[in-house]
Amino acid sequence: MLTDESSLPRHVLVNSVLAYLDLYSLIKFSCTSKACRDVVFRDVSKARWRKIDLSGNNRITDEQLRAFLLNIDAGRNTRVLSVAGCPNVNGTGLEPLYGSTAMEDIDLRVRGSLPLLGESGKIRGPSGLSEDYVAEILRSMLPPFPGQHFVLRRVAIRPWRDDLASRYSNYGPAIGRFIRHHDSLRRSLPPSDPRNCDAPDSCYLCSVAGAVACDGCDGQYCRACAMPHDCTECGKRKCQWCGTIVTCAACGKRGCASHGYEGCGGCEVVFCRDCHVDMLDYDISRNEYYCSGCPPPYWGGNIR
Amino acid sequence: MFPPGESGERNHCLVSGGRSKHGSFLLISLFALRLKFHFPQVSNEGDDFPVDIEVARMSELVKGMLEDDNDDEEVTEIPLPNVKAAVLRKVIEFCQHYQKEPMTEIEKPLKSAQMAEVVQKWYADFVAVEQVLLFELILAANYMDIKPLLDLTCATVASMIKGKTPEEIRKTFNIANDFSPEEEAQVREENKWCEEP
Repeated sequence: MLTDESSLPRHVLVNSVLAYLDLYSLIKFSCTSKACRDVVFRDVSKARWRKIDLSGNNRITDEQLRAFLLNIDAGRNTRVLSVAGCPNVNGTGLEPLYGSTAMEDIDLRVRGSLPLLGESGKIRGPSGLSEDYVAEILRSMLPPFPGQHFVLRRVAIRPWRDDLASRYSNYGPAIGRFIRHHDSLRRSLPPSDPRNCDAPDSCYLCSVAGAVACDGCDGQYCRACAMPHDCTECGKRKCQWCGTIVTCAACGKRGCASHGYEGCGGCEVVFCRDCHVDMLDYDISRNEYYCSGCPPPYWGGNIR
Repeated sequence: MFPPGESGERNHCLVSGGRSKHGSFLLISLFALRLKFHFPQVSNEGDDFPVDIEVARMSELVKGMLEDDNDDEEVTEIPLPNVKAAVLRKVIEFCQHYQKEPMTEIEKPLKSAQMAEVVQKWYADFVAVEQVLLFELILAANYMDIKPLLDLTCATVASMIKGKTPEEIRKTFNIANDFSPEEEAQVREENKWCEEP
């Protein structure tokens, strides 16, 4: 048997065999028996849980997320978490992260921020998160006053809208307050640490010189890390958290999603305002656009 | 720790020529830089497998023994407890081929459950063996410290897990389901998100 020491030493199973498994296969392996469950959640190196990428999983719910985060002791072990494109998560499953001092990077764009893989829905509208709950959990990861050490460097949450002058107003009130607090804490960090983003022209994420300033948050990022193409319509440069630069699948024009770009609710192909009239059909009952290859489910289409 | 050998005897590794009374062993001639494996349990007369020393050096265990061997004796004994002759033969086959065609590094995590898609065909065919032999190869590779062989065999076991449901994994590896019905229902519900859509 696989977990029997006589047929396979435990360290070989843990360090050599399970190291070849992706997260999903590893979890399925843990479901086979109590011994396998112990091997996965007790013996596997904690480093394995440092980066958890659940992006694009449209099945996971908050209860399942909560159970998983508890199993891996995510509050202590997880530094990077992405639930981008997980439309059934509203944030209550993040409870095990309350008070985490390990989390450095969390992506909570659970739905509607094209063009991330696996996301669906409209570009504008509610973020899908339980705002007050999520804001409370995120705040618990930060110190109450500026000048104190913290590790949470990046929080990605989709704004409700992107047309208001104040960036914070584009979110709901609770998340807006959190982001304002987070920004003030980041500004108070000593510039000696290159990760604190105050060195001129150096990227906040990788510290490489030649970074570009975001017109939305004034953060400095290099093109490779977080600065997609400039908008060809308004000329603004926005980092991946402040704006969504999408590419029209018909004419190739790149621009902010707010300039009338629309995406197919099925395959997420995006068209600019000039092209989408011809390329997409509006379905009034679902308040969605669909391309000719993705008719809505009740038309017999194969929508994810 | 290790499964019993074919004959229950301990295999041994010897440096330089000669025969051993102790069972299967490895012979390395320091002068001719050739390596020989000897398997008396295969046949009464004993079988010698001449192997280049570079092939033998793929095993960190043998390499360490050769480096530590400062005495002037012609023969140094390297014990290979409970490594069956058939397994040792496969190990040598792997090491010999590796010298001719080094194995590409296997990516973590596996990109495919088909070994032929993650490694060259020869290596994929090499590990297309019965599960018992595969596990014995893992034990031998682990004991003899041959990293490429350990990587290949462990990746093969992982490929047998990848993409399967818990029930299929149980069946493949003969794992007993020791969850109570209630526990199993809870585990299944908690991990439904891992299942394929």
